[in-house]
Amino acid sequence: MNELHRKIRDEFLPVVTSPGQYIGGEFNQVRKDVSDDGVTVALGFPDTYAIGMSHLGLAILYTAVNQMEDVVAERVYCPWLDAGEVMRDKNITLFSWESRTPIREFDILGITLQHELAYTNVLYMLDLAGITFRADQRHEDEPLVIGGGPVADSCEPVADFFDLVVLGDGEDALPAVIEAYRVLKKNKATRREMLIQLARQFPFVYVPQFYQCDYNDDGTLAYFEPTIEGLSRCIQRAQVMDLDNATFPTAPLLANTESTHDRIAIEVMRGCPQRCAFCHAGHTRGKLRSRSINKIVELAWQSYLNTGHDTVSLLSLSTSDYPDLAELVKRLYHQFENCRVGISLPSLRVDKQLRDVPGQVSGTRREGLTLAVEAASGRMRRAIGKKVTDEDLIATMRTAYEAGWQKVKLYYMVGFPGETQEDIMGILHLTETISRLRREVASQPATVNAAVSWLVPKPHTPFGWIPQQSPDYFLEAKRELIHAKRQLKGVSINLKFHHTDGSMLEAVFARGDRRLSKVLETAYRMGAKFDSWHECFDFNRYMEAFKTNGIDPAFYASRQRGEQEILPWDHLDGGNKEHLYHRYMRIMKMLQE
Amino acid sequence: MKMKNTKQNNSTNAGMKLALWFSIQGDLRFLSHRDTMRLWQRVISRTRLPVKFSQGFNPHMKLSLPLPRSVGMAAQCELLLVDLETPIELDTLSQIVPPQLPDGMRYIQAASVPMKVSSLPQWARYHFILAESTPTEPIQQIIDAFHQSTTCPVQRSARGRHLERTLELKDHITHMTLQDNIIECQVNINTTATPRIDEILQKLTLTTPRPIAGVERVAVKYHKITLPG
Repeated sequence: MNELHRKIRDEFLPVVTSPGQYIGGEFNQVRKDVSDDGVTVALGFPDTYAIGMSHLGLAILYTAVNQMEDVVAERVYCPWLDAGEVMRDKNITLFSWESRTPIREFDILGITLQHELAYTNVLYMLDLAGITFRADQRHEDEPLVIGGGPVADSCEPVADFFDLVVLGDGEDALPAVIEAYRVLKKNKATRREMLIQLARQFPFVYVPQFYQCDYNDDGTLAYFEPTIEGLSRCIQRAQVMDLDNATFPTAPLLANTESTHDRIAIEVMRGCPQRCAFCHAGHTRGKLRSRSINKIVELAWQSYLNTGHDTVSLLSLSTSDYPDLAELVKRLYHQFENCRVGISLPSLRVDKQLRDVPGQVSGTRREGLTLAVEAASGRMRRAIGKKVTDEDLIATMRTAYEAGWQKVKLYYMVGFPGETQEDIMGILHLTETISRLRREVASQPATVNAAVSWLVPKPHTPFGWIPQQSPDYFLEAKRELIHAKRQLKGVSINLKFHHTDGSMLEAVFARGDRRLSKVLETAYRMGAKFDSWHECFDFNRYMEAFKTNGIDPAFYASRQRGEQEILPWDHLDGGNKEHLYHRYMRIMKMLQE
Repeated sequence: MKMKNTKQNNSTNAGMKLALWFSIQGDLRFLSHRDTMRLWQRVISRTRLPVKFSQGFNPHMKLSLPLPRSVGMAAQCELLLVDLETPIELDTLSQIVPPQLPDGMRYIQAASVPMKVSSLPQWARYHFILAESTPTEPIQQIIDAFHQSTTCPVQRSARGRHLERTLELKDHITHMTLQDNIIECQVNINTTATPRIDEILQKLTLTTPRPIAGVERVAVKYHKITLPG
């Protein structure tokens, strides 16, 4: 046992809260030894163990990389605040969950970028690992820090911290990069030589330090171009076309402690046919691909045998768009009939197909039905491309109540362009209607949880040009909804609201450029981390960091962009910019009519 | 899972109660009681044992760990009780359970016990393992002082309440010796109040500085359930 192992056992685990999350050794864990020429990869998740263990993407990459010969992937998560303090006090470096190897000793550290408020956690992990923050200042013996994940296509605020970023689907792309890395390592290529070679070899690899930009007097981008010959001006997205044959973890790790989604997760579809105007994922995941029913049932069954989970969750951006959802649910129901395994369908969109589903989904648990309505008024839903009618919604809910469902969760958004007072108050009216609807089949109204979030205009979407509404606008909407809800009698409605300051910061970093890396670093030095956790988030800290660096957050959050403006994500393959702008114009026209 | 045809001792047609002993060592000892329960639920599910479920809207497996274990405590012989729908061949458990256990957990043995058996523990024996280079003489003096004293009260205040109660360690600790850097301590358990290990260590001034490197539960005596052999 080396000194680090001893310190973790004697000085770390006995004093941190919920030590079970740091011990590793989970059932289905992979332990491998590699040769000197092999490649060691640490897959990092910039949030807690409980959230990271629920993340299907990381599980897929863990499986894909560990399937490679002479390559090992281990995991690392963000230690919670108390654990981070202990690590600093006791001089314990960030370690991998499997072998407790210092992260700094790995060849590659891969970090998934899930959302903008996790950016400071990237710095937190690098800091605890003793890895230099800025990629162009890293030493030869430090790991290659690779980024990827959902917001990699708008990663400019954190671009300086990554040696390279892989765009798009990772299960084939990351192993390909690792394989190329292995050859370069064997040939004793320098860090710079490796990065040049990888950027040239793969169209989906973005090496930020090989691109430079400058700014106009008004703060907008003047140009953005590669500094190395042979590099593309636009990075393409890697795509896995055949989901049936794509790598999938049928023996996923079983979390030692309770995780956010303690269940089997099967991705039934990738991409989204809806293209709702606000949705970043819908516009950036590429062509719609689905898994066959046979494959889904096979994967779910294998995963059940290897884990013993009691719920199968069907994941996709819009599960109700699965070509034959009713048949899939029926097949799964029959497969798991005597196993006390429930079927869970998150991300449901309300349409005619969905009407049949609630009655079929049953099992050990009939949890609440979750529906993404987004906008309460039909006018706004039509404008943003949300193909949901009130009739479909009412019919679906009636079916659900008849099938025994008692709870429903509805997602709404406030802050759309052209939004009226009527649109906002419609949230409460629609929620009330849905709650009272249950009285038609039962004695009590349904309990409805309405989660209201504030629109964050996202890059690569038709709303990429619009300003975000001000925090005051959101607070006023919140006040009015709460006030109106107090007048209601005889219904069970819970309104929940997102944090307005957090949404504003999201808007800043979602459409930010490289100048924001200084803000992130300053905010981190001032103590910012776990910013998506209410108990950790401190908006004033960020405001101070903006001020220190002479940056106005309103420039990023609440500024209307021009049609010809070079956007900080133009070089990262998303959608067709011209098409998106035309759609934006069409939406505005619809809302003005 | 092969079902047993003949009626077994202590089992009825309504099912069977399984008493399963296991050890938990290494870093796995840092799992909480709740996490250990969840771990066993998954293990039972993977083994496809015909476990009983509770009735109701949200059915759950009928299994229990009668004596919860503190986070960080290793254990040589923990008891898990599982209600089964139908009797099974006990011999098969040694084949099907061990492959489903994570590193640090070991299957020891299983037995069939009466469905309505009392699972109340009577006493538990612990080992407090001294940290390396801890001088044993002061520890021995602490133990001697404990034995010579007529009283050794521990004050316990319930979280969030002002009520305070006193536990008399002399009534609960029936045995305490030091041998080979290990303090062996036997604690009586009753349903009203039982001193916790941290209370015992604190009262005996064995917490600061930390002379105890680890705590292990080495044996538990239950009223009606005993480990065969």
